Amino acid sequence: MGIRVTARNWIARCALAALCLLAASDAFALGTPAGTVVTNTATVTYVVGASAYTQSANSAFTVDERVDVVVTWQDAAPVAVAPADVDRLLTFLLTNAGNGNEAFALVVDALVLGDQFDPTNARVYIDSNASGVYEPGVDPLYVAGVNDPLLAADASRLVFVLADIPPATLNGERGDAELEATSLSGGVTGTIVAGAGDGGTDAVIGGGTSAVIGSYLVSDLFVSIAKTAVVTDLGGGATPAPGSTITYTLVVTPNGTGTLANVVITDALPPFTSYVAGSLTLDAVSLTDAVDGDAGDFGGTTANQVTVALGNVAGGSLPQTITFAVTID
Amino acid sequence: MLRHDLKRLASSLAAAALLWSAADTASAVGADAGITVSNTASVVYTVNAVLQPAVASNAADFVVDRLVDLTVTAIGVTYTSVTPATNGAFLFSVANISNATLGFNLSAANNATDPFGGTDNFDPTTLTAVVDTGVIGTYEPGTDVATTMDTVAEDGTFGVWIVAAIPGGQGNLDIAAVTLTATAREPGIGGAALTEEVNPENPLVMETVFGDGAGDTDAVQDAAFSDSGAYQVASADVTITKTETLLSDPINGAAPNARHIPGALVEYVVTVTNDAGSAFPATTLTISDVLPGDVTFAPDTYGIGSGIDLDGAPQTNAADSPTDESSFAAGTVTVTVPSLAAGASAVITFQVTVN
Amino acid sequence: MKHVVALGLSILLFAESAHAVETAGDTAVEIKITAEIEVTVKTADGREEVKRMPAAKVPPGTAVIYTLNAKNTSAAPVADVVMTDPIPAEMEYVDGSVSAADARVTFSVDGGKSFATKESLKVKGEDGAMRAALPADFTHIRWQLEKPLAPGEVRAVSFRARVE
Repeated sequence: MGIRVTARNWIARCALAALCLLAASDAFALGTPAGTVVTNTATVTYVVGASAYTQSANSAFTVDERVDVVVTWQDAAPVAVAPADVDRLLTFLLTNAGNGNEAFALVVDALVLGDQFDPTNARVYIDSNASGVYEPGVDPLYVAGVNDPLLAADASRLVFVLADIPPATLNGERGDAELEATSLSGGVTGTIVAGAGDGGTDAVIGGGTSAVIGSYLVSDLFVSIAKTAVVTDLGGGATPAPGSTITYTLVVTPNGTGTLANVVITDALPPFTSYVAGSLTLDAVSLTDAVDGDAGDFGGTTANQVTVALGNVAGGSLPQTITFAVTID
Repeated sequence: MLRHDLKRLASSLAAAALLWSAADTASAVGADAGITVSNTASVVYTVNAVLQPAVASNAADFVVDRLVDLTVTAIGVTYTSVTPATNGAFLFSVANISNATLGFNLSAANNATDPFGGTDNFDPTTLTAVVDTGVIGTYEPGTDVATTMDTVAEDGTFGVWIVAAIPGGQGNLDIAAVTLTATAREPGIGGAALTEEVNPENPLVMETVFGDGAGDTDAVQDAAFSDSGAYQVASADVTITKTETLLSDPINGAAPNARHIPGALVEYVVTVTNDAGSAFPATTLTISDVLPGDVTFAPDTYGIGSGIDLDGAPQTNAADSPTDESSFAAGTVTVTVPSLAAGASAVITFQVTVN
Repeated sequence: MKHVVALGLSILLFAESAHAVETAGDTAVEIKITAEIEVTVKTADGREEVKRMPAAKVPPGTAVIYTLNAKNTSAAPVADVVMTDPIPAEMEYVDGSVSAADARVTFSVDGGKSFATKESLKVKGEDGAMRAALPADFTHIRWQLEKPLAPGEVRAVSFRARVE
């Protein structure tokens, strides 16, 4: 998921994480729920003389629980941070990939080897209200053994790691934090825990532990957007009145070092204005209003809004200019 | 020849002419109903040693009453073997051992008591009692249709079939007991029921007296008699059993550590057996197993495209008769076996994985 | 009507040497016969009692009691009284049932041609050999009274026979 910049944020840091409620991808998603009794009936029909007969027989077994947990890091790229930032967010997704209800213990490790700095004060928060975003003061701090997340089979929950960035870090340095989830039924693959599964079934530990690393990247990379407006009234003057045309110009300037991925500029029309069809340009090249091969559209990606996808943008590259016009109703 | 001997000879000749003479142990009484028995005595004497002419008395007359008596006897001494979804016929004989010609009404009923010592465990769906005419001793459906016998002389006997519709699907050796009740009535078509006189007063009027005993389901002296027979089903009893064996799971492999977790491999063995005591082979057997949605058929267990084994021979999953008669389609394992002799089994094996 | 023929025979037998003292049709002895059966009735106080009734309800197998009464209706005694009764063809004498007070009882097995004591009667069996006569073989019973009948005297004899 790309960085999303809106024209209303006159300056946007490249740190905004979007939601990613992807379905869990792993093997036994939607497996038969533990405790299900699978009954299978075989039937024989036969004939003796003029008479037809039917007999049948059943056999049944109960599906045991397979314990599987998968943790994925949801940020598409290292989260850009500045030295001495506090409470910076890494987003993880905890998925119960087994076929029974399961609770998991979480551990965050900021002292991972192989990076350039260690984030400090790492804490774990649970998206317990499933809002999809971290809500300070709402999402609770995780305390092992107190609020271990309990997930139904195939259910997922966002988990947020918050950490502080040490002041003595340099542009381009990476700091990793690893989040590990372990089933409370056990973590060693192959372990059979009698009676621990749903409905008293045996629990078989498949992937009882899952760990994934998320990263911070110290970066001075940011985009600045300058927006100007020119009013032209029907009499050729500059009076904003019904029927007047307003031409907006957005100058997008990448700053710093590195590359911003998938920069998208959006701008919603002000109230009581109407978009002038065919007025959208990017660097003086006209763009169609439709969602098509070019970079921009009006109202197609989002209603009543201009959207221009700039793609990957290198820090320090030339500014890009977007224009479009509206009339006052 | 003495008069009694003559009577007995005539009686035994009549009985011998009939198939069911064995049943004719009780012989009809001798004096015909309605005849007048007259008795006149005489006396002679002397007066002064002179023999006087004989003097006759009055005649003491009475009319012989009608003693109604009959027997019903099951001719078969053991079960009549029947096959399901056909009609079975059990033969009885009815004997008029009254001293008068009578008609008989016939009725057939289910009976819960097996006269041959077994256990009655089903009832035929319809029962009729018909007179054995045509070839005596052979049930002829188009011929043996009369449901009453209108005129039977003294000492007359006749055969009666209870014809029973044996339900389809009845199991081998199942038993249905039936009872024939014959009720004496006035002779002739539609003859009236008999009633017993309770206050006879006039010696010269013929009364009706019931002299019959109690049969299986009727009372003494009710002008009816009953006896029971039974049918035994000759068929095939096929049983089916199904066992399930957990072969492995994707985490711990084979037993004993395997568990029924998603991805586990399970083997089903379906055994179809025609009981050794079956009277007939079972034919056109179709074994079908609709797999539940929680398992997935393993298509290549016994070779590519052969996920079913029948008696050790891999069967293709395709519905490709006559190559083989097995298939897996629409979530259902189907195996067809043309015939299974008594005592024989068919064993079907296939594997599934737990979803 | 076999018994009627038998009766005729008996009349002929004794008519041969008869020379009546009384005029014809004016006999000195009357004979009467009754047929009765025994029925068990309940008395008012609940006891069972066997009563004799006229033989009306007579299905086969019933025993009928025949009673013969000979009465001297003349003013003079009569002697050598012989009562003869044919057993009806549809009936069988009940062995030992004959009452024989002051009378010599003999039986016939040949339709009344000859009489002898029960013990001395023989018949030809089904196998052709002679055998002792059985009650079923008897066709007639005869009572020869040992004492004369005084004027007005009544003498009763009886036997039982069963309807076949």
